Amino acid sequence: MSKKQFKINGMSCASCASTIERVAKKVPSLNFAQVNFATETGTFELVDENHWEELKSKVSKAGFELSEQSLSDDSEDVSSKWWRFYVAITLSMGLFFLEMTPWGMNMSREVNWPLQFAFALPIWAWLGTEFLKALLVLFRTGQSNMNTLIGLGTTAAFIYSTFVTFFTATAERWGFSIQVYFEAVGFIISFVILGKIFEAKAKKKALRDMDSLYRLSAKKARVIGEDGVETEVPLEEVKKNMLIRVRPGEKIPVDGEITSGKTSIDESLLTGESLPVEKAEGMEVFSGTINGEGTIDFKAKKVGSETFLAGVVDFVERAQMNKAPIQRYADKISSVFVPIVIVIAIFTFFAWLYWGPMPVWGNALSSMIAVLVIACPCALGLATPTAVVVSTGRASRRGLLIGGGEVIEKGSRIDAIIFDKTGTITFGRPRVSDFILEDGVDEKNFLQRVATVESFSEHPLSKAILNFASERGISENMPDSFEVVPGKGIVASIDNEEILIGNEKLMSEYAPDAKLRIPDNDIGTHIYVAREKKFEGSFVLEDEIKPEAKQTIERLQSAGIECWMVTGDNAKIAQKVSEQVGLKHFLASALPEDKLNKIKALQSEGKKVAMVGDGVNDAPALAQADLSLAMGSGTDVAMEASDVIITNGEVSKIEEFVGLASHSMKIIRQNLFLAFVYNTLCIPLAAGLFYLIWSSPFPPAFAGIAMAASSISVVSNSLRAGYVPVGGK
Amino acid sequence: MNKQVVFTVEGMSCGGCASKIKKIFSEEFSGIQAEVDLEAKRVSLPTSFDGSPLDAKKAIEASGFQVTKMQSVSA
Repeated sequence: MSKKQFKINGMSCASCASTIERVAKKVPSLNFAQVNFATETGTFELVDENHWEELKSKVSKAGFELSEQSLSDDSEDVSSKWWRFYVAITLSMGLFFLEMTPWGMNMSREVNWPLQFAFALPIWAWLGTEFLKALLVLFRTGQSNMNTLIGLGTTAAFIYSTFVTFFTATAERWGFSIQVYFEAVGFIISFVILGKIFEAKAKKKALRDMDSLYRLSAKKARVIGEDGVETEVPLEEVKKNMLIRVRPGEKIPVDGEITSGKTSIDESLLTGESLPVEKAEGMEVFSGTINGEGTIDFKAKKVGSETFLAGVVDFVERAQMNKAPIQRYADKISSVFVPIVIVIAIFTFFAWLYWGPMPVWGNALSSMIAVLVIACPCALGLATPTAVVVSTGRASRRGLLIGGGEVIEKGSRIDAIIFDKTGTITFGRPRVSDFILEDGVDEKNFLQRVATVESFSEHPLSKAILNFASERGISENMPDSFEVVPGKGIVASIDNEEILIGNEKLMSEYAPDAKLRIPDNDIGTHIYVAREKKFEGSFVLEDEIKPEAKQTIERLQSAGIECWMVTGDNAKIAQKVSEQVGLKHFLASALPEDKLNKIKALQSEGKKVAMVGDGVNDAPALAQADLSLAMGSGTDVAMEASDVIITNGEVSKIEEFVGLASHSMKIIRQNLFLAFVYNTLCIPLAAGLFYLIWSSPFPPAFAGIAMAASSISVVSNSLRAGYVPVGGK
Repeated sequence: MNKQVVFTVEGMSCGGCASKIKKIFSEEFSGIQAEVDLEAKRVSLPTSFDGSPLDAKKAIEASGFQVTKMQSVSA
């Protein structure tokens, strides 16, 4: 199995994308093909690696080129089009001068028309090559796209005009209108080229956010050898466990763990968090983030495609290939659109010929050209992908990774959200919220003993208590002995005294006579401490609620979304947390299958349900939900499994996602409406309605302008998709 | 007065594990010769070990084993 992504040259509209997919499916070992018109890329998967050449040649026969060059480099492409426009418009101005000004009109026809022919020829045959190529493809394979329409229109005009210029007598005998349309050919091609430049620029702007992800990664790394000597090596040569030095202001080349030094690191491009994060020995660093003022050495832990950044890029890339269901309709429409337009154009031509006013040949021809040119379904094809690319690209820089168009469409329709408590509404790391001491116990000595024992334990509760002690300036010593009693606690000895730290079960087993006391606040986990079998003090530990959880849930609820919290904790804790964040519904003491059943129950009420979890423990529930959101902080997120990933673990991003999804869908609908209305209004106008109102056929050059304007308006509308309205729906 | 540190380690199942742990000490703790008793799940460090028992515990756990008990005995 072999998978590749290509940049595709030569696509002009969404029907090209579906053409390529169709052509690719003819390669016998093709497993997967998806082409994105907006990003001009395609991903293909072949069972047999030897078929790549066959795929390329099949695609190139259809008029496109698969190129393996860097995906983000298309600046040359755009600028080369600018000169094409300048040349085309200059020649067109010459044609305008000859055809429309008194000076030109006073010239004899025998001089004027051949001169016009000489001006129009390079525009038609050289600058408009892509349209002629499309025409060739139409004749050879029957495949059509928007360039086919332009090609048909301008070629018909050019050949007719050439015939009239050089065989005037014959044309007259056959009843042709003695008129030339060279200036229409010139202006149509000029305006279409101009439209494509604008379109390319807008698409490039939309892609810029994604490009910046590619550019995040460093090119080189400074590796410290065993002899302590620094050497710069290319990024690809960095291996796991190599020691790497990063100086102030440099990019972190790979993921790893700091071995020495202290610094602050700007991780905003990965997590959306704008404040630099303080980092010291033992903490993780991620490739693509920017080192602040300190020099650090770190050990490479993940390199190449394993890094967090590579995961993000991969996710975003796949997201942009993922088509929204609504786009499939647009694709279907535009793939039947071109042949239908050709039929309408031919019908228009003959209708004018038989029923139209004089000069019939001229009117019929210019109306047909106008229909062909104005009907390009370009705007229709751009409507969805540009909005998806813009919104997913911008979201990814704010710590919100969205799995593509389908996810955006689903996100805009969510009725209920189920939050997993731990890690979503709360941080998932316990904190000491209260503690008491037995009378006569010295606090400092007590905490010192506790810290000494807890420093040996990996348990999250132990770490929380150790943190609590070190926040009070206590540093740990070394215990004489230490033993873990699974599920209960720790038995240790310091200075030949037995220290017990653990839950009630530990106490009843090791110190059954100790008189235990707990703080008044009785919600949370209790940990008791006994010295020489006598109770000394106890701690209450609670999982801290994220500060922005309350506001997020209130906003989602007021937007009409039913919010639920599910947790394995008991009803008391669930009740308290729900009250604190203003949640109306919760499900306590829930096993994984209870979560699953809750989702099914809501779905059976006809609701679209989103599930927010940490992505690790809730796999079945995440799979059952219509939409799954994974909260992560760092590298532990299961990227493959989720529709949306919140890289910085902020619960407020859920609200942002819902807001962005409905805003993007609104823009997509506006775009489709714009494109659809445009085509349905303009085709009848070009075919004859214009004449009925203004008693003149639709000028073909106007069609070129209108066509370019429709694409530009759709793409510009999409650029608004990044601005996320605060406040949900 | 140096003490002898003894760990109880879960997850050691064969001679390979034992030599892996020995290697940790000989490489990361300047040539300390650890004694490994698979049967008793015991790893003993000689009195010449002057590092931190906590670091030793972390090093063992970093290689995928679990320390359930630590004892330092006056030699």
